[in-house]
Amino acid sequence: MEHLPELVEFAAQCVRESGGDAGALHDIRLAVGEVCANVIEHGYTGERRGSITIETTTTAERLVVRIEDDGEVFDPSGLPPPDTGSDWRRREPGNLGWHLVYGVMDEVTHEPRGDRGNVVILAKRIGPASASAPETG
Amino acid sequence: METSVDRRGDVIIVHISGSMDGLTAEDLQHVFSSEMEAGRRDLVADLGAVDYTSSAGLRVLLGTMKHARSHDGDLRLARPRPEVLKVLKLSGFTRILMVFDTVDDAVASFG
Repeated sequence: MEHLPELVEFAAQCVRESGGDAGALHDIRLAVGEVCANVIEHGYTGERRGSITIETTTTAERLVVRIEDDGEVFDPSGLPPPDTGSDWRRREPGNLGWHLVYGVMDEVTHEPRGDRGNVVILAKRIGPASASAPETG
Repeated sequence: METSVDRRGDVIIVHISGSMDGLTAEDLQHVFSSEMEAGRRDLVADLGAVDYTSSAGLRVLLGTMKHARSHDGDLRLARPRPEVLKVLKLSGFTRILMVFDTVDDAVASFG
């Protein structure tokens, strides 16, 4: 988890270089942070080491972030929706992370990498554009 | 993330800056837990300098609010930036947590 800020900051820098506004910067940081934290917590449960690779691609109007890991296969589209309506006494925070990812991104796709590993692709409209680069953490 | 704590009467104000995420949530929980263990249950989280909160940060806010209310106190939020407020709304937290535009308003709400 100690490398989480580096992964988030890499994606944030890509938004800045692409001319994204404060809203896009926030949403990308949030979504990348949630996806990577989920991989670290659940994809590599009990493992001391694991890789997460982030690549970004920008076009004239949007930023696409590709997050790849070698952890346990996990399909977020099968998750039940979180509880966002109960009384505070019964409210539980489960599944909020992916709910936020879907809520702030324009597109979210997941593909398993065979028996182990995942590819999550996040897309967000950001406006004017420029760069792309990969980083492994 | 950095935190600092102020006290106004019986109300504790926790000023938070930076990111509330999986890396910092434990530290934030410790700050709130320390205050509650000392018997202080009327809490304000000043979010004015929070860049973003992930689900890990939301879990801390929810757990703290539940604990405070179960001891006749409350956790109330102040000054969330528009992006953070959006996340609070997406999560349904604005239905169960009181959110104020200023720290003064949040403190005054405890009466």
